[in-house]
Amino acid sequence: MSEDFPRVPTARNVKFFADESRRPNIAMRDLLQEAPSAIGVLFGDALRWQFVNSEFLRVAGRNRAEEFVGKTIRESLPELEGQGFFELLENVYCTGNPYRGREVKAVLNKNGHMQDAYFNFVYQPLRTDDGHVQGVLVHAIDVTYEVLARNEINRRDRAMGLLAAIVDSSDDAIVSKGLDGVITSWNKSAEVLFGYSAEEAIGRHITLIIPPDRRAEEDMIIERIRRGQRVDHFETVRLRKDGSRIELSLTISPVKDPAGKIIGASKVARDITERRQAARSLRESEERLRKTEKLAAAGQLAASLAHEINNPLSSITNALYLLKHCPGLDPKAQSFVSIASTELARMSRIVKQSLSYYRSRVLPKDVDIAAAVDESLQVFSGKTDRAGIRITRKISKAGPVLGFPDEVRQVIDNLLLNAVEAMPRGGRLAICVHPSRSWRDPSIHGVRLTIADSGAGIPKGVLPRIFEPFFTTKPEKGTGLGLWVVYALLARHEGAIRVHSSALPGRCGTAVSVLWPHVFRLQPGEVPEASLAA
Amino acid sequence: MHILIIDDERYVADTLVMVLEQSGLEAIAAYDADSALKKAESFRPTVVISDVIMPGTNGIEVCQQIHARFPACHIFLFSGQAATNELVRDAYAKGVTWELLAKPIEPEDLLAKLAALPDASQA
Repeated sequence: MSEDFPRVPTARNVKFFADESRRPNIAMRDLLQEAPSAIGVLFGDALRWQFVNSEFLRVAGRNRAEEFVGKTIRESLPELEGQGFFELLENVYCTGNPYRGREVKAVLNKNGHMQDAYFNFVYQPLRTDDGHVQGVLVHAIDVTYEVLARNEINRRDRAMGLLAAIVDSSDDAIVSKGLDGVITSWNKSAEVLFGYSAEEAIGRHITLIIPPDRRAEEDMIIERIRRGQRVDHFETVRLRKDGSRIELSLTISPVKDPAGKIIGASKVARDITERRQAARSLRESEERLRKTEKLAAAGQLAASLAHEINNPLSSITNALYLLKHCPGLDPKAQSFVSIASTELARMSRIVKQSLSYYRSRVLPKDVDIAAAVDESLQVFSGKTDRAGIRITRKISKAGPVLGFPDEVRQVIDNLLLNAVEAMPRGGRLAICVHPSRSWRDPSIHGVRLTIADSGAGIPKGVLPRIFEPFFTTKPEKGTGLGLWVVYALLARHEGAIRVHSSALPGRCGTAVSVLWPHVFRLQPGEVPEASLAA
Repeated sequence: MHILIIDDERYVADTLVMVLEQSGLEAIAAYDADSALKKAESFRPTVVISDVIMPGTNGIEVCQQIHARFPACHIFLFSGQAATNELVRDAYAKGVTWELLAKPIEPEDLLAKLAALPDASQA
């Protein structure tokens, strides 16, 4: 730096500038010319530009120094009229007090376009040695980009804050995660829905809430997200902190950075457990209604069929009885009559089992389930022996149940018949009788009968239909009424039935479990026996 | 023992009469309510076995009239239809106490029932 060149044009060396001969020489102008801030020097009462540097020209949107030098501020920058700058400069010149501005906005005419610009600046009075203000130094730093950038950041922050508030107050659980599956955000509804606080969840892997049997879903989801695809209304199951499962509808969208690169995913989860349950219960009640209607229709049909069939059965029974007692019937004819009688008895029994709701006793009485089981086994002994079925019995001491003996017997017969017919080529039949309680209401005590066979089992799809009337898996010989009647008779005894079955090869079989309560309420019309004694 | 069988199903009534006659019992058949009441006057039954559902006057009403006329007469109702039958339910609800027999009944069972009646020995 040369000796005759002032370091900076400050008030202290303003005399330097006041002297015409020592006004900034070429070297000094060159130095100021390349300064990174805008510098301009105004002189005289008229405040005419004596010097502006190239940065000054740039921020003012002008091309040549000639547009300033020798001109007043109003001549050179007419667009600033009304923006307060001229008044400030005149004030500094008159009072000698410097003025500092921070991030002051100026609207400048840059090549015909009015543009906002922001400056940090100082208007510095230039004095002679005796203190007279001779001019003003304008020293400005263009902070337009910084101000605009900060404004943009603030705007984004506010938008983000608003967004965060919206996310947090949403009724839907909103969760975001990176492509590595690590949770990055967790809103209030997510806290409520999943039971984890944001602190607990953020930073953990998303498998935190995915049941082990559904981990594969996550790979599928991430794969789609990587391809930039959304997953809409994906219905699935997730885990709560307490281990319970919730049914959810998920909408998962890719999250992109400002450059458009996919960096993660946002998940909006809606609890549809209630909706699902409502739909399920609607389906169930429709199903039940359908069943009830079918039952009612079948019941009517059964009642009229019973009437129509039992009358001719009566005549044939009587006729066979008469034939059997006919004098002079040869042994061959006798044997035919005997076969006809046996078969007719069987037919009557079938009609009673399936079609007749007949109650020979009006009042229920104590029934010993174990004894009834033994009676039925006796009846079926021919069948079980022929099929080569091994029978195991496990009878615990259980009190009697109140019931209609014929109906109890019919339930046992139908269940045993099903078990035996499931094992035409032999197998194991396990029968268990023991005291127990109701599944639905443990305060109800009763007797449980379980009949388990090692037969073919009931396919899963068929299981819900086995109590429907006329539904049969044995079209050749089944009526489709056996279990329907069992169900109806048990209902009348306020009993319950459960069926477990597996048709898987190697471990197939069926276990039917029936609970008879010790007591039940009489239906209207079921008259106590005492009133029957004539 | 005088047994009156009432059933609109002629085969049922007739074969039952024959079964009873074969066992040495005196039995006649009636196929409707009117003839049943007429026949009862001359036959003076000690036992009536009546179908429940018949065209016209039903079995329960017929039996009530016979019971009013012959209070000592034993009455059995005889039905091929379940206890779901409203007629029977109503009758029991109103205090009728007659035993209900299920069709078909084995002749041996019916004969045993008749033999067990208190006045069977006087027949």
